[in-house]
Amino acid sequence: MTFVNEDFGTSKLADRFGVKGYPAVFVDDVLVACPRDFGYFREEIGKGRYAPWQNADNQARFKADLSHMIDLILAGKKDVVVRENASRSAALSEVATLPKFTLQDLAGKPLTTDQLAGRVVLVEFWATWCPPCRSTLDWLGELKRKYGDNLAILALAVESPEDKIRSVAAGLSPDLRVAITDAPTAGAFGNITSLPTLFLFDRTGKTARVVYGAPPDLHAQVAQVLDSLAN
Amino acid sequence: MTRGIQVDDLRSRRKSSLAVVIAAIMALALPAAGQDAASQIRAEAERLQQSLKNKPVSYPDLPDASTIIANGLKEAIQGESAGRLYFSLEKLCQMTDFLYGARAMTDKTEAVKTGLPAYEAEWEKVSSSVTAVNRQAREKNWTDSPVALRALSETAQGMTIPLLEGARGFAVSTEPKDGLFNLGQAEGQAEFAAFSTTLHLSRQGAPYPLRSLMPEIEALQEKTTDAFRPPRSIDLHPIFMSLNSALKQARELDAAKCYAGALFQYLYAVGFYGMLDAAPLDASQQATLKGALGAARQKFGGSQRDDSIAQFFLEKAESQVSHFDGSAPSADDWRVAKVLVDQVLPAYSALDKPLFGAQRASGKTIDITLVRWPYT
Repeated sequence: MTFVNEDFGTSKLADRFGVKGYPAVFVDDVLVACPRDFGYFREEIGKGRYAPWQNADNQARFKADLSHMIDLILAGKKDVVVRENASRSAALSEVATLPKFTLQDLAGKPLTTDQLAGRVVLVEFWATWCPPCRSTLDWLGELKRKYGDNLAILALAVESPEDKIRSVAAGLSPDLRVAITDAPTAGAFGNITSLPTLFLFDRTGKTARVVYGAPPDLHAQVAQVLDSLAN
Repeated sequence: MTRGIQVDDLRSRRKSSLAVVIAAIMALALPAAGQDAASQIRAEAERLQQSLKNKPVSYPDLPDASTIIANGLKEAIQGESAGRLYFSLEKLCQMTDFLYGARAMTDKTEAVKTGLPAYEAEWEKVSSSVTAVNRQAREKNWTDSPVALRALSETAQGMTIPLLEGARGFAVSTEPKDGLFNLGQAEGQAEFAAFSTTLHLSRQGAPYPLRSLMPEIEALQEKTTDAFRPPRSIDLHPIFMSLNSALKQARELDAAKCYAGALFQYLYAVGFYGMLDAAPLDASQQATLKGALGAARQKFGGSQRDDSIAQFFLEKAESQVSHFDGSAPSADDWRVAKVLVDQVLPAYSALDKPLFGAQRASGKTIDITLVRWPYT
């Protein structure tokens, strides 16, 4: 067994798994614990599986979990480790339902969770300096045309100057609701680990899919989910 | 870098009449080259003091920053006056790091308010200057320099890139302004590394035989991992953090063949490990320790070899029990000094006999990777 330290900010493994904070623990290339597990790095103290860390039971739990993962991998059961952690990580890292928020869109109109009740909702976090975001924003207009009133689309800008947001928004489909995100709203959606990050919620507000970045099959992934939710 | 034995224990903050006596002795004992270096250190500390006076750092998250830095720089000058040049240099490094970090937050927060692109522009500027300074520092020929000076410089150089990358990580993961302090720290460490290459400080005695310490580092890592059990893993968590951080730095410096920096960090780690079991000292133990300090000073002072790293830890121990301000040492100060004398200095001497690494077991291996902040 080899212990490896990787620094926050340069860790390739963290990048690969979209982990933006620390600490995170990997067994080979399987993510077995992330900042949320330790209630650390912008997370609520005391909420993670091993939080607070300065507690004997939590340290024992982590030790037991880690030993279990190591035993499985040594026994050639990596697939089990991947499966166990995928379900746990997903449950821990993604919001379960459309969070409550109150924003103003670029036209100055209120934009709230309540207005979206009963509709399928797509929320994209984007930034003006993020090239993949620009192409996904154009594509969101196409989605709106295809699904019409069945689908509400919110394009929530982060970490970008307002004049540039307005300039980009001027070129988008007028049916998209564009707003500048405040920190509480971004925080309510959990860890935005990459841009764009795209959330899909069903008509009851339950999270149907979260897509980080702009993978090559983004359109296909989203279309598949939307077809099942919106039709 | 640098750090002390325990989070706050490291900071000897006071002036003592004993220090004045030691200063007089050291002033007589130091060679001309040493005096040059002393003047350089004082001048650099005074330059930073003046910079702070002209433009105090003020940031809501660091309300006491100016006071802490001013006090630290004063200590650096007091250390220099007392002839504790390496102690003084370490303090100067800590304060350069802190001043540049706080300065970046004070001066650049407004500039990065518009978002990440503005932060990236700042980051690029700092990154290119730090890279250039680092490159220059790496070219230094240390043949005639004390190994402790090289160790301080290598440690500072080693910290710049992780701080730079970590700074960007914070800016991206939280807010651009949150990536400013570490960005400034990276600049400060590079600045100190460069400054240390200009010091006119000559090696005394034969060169220290630098080598890889990986077997010793791994052995201490194993002992540390074994020791990490409740209740100590709970009660002494800050010491474990410092200990693991020192071991990590030692390993990285060793891997980069920066053996002086690795030696320095390894000995720090030995000190932190010793603090896990350090008991309070009674009056007679304190008297014994003072005697042991004197004996160690004699031993390393009369060495025919460059034992400047031992001298550095000795200066730290002396600073724990002889405060610049004449105040009495605390119970923790005594504990730290005892660990330095009873464990760190013997560990330094023990390195003369290399430890051979245990053979790795064959068979299937796996990697356990921890993604972490580099210095906690």
